[in-house]
Amino acid sequence: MHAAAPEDSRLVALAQEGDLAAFNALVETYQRQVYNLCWRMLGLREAAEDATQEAFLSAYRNIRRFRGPSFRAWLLRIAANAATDELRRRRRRPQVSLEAPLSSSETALDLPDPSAGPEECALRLEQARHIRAALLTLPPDQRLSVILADVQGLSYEEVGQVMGSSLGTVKSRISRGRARLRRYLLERGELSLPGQRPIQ
Amino acid sequence: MRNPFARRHPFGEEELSSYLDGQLSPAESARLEEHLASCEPCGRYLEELRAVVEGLRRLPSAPAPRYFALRPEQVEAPTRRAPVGPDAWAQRVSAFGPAGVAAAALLLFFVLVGVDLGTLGGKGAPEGVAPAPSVEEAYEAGQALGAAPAPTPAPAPAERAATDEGEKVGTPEPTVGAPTPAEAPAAMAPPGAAEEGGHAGRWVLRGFQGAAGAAFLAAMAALVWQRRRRRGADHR
Repeated sequence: MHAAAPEDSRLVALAQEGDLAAFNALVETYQRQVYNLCWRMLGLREAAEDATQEAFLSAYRNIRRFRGPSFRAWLLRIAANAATDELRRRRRRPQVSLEAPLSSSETALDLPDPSAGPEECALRLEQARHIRAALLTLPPDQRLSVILADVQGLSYEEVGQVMGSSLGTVKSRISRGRARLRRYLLERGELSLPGQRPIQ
Repeated sequence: MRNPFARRHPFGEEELSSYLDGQLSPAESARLEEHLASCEPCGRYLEELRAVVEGLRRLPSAPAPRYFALRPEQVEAPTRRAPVGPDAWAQRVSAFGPAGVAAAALLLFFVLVGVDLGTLGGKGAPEGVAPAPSVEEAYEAGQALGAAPAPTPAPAPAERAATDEGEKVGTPEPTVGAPTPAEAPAAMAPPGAAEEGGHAGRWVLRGFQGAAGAAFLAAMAALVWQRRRRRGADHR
């Protein structure tokens, strides 16, 4: 589990006293993770930016309520809520479909490590595109748990903290989310293992 | 959801997924590994699941497109200034919003209805309450009933004044519908005058009631309009 860094605790204490510079130091530490969570949840950069900004604003306004232990888990929970709100808002007013085929500008961010070689690079880029599209087909609770556990690398306990769920619920959501992703990728021929017939 | 293992295999999707993350106990892991050694579909499913997880873990983390630091003007709570100047009262009233105005109008409406029923009696009285008779009617009724004891706890002051005048000391008191203190002046006045005054008062009250009702409806309409406007602002 991600332990609360001593530096985090100091900055959180200062931010709780209204020190905006201290809070912005926390923003700098976590903005990439928060933005990526929102982006993976929403699939659109513009929507992810809005949700990220909203999450930090909400975190600052409520930071006096933070009691620990993990600031990261608390912040990611706020970000997940902001992303879910944004998801609902955009579903009510569908300007751009969240399930639409992925644009090249969105896919550009999924560029793999160029050291992998051009062929491998192209293969991974294609797979990343499909996985990202598959993620968007999951129900929000399964999507969030899979993103937190498999994309962001949080432990089951930390996923439970972020989602406010028991360990059993976390295990179940992750497993169901992965099973759906597997089926989605199999149906599109993106997961067939060499020399094997996939299980349907 | 279909579970390819539910019927034929001792381990479900959840156990296989947890196994990948090292979430099974050593004993459970050993049993699963034993099963995997002899079950090709489970082994394949596990490999496919592993490929999904690896694909997810390989998704790159995008850099934040900008610095999300908050500016002081973003975090400052909107401060409410105390209203000053000639419009202060109006500003204070408007601070309550349409909901407050609606509640006040509704309260006023019910108070006026209460006053109407209490003072003007008769037509406005609720069912089950007999209309109050005049003193003469009550007196006649008392005579007709003989010396029946009065069920009312005490006569109203106006009525007591009438009996104290000594017209008939010891005469039976009216048995039903003793007028209330509020009704007493009307009961003492000539019948025609009481009716005229009652009509005038009733029309004034009806006017107030109508105004209160209209204010209530207007305030509710303002409330709905304000909510719609706020919702529209949220969407922008």
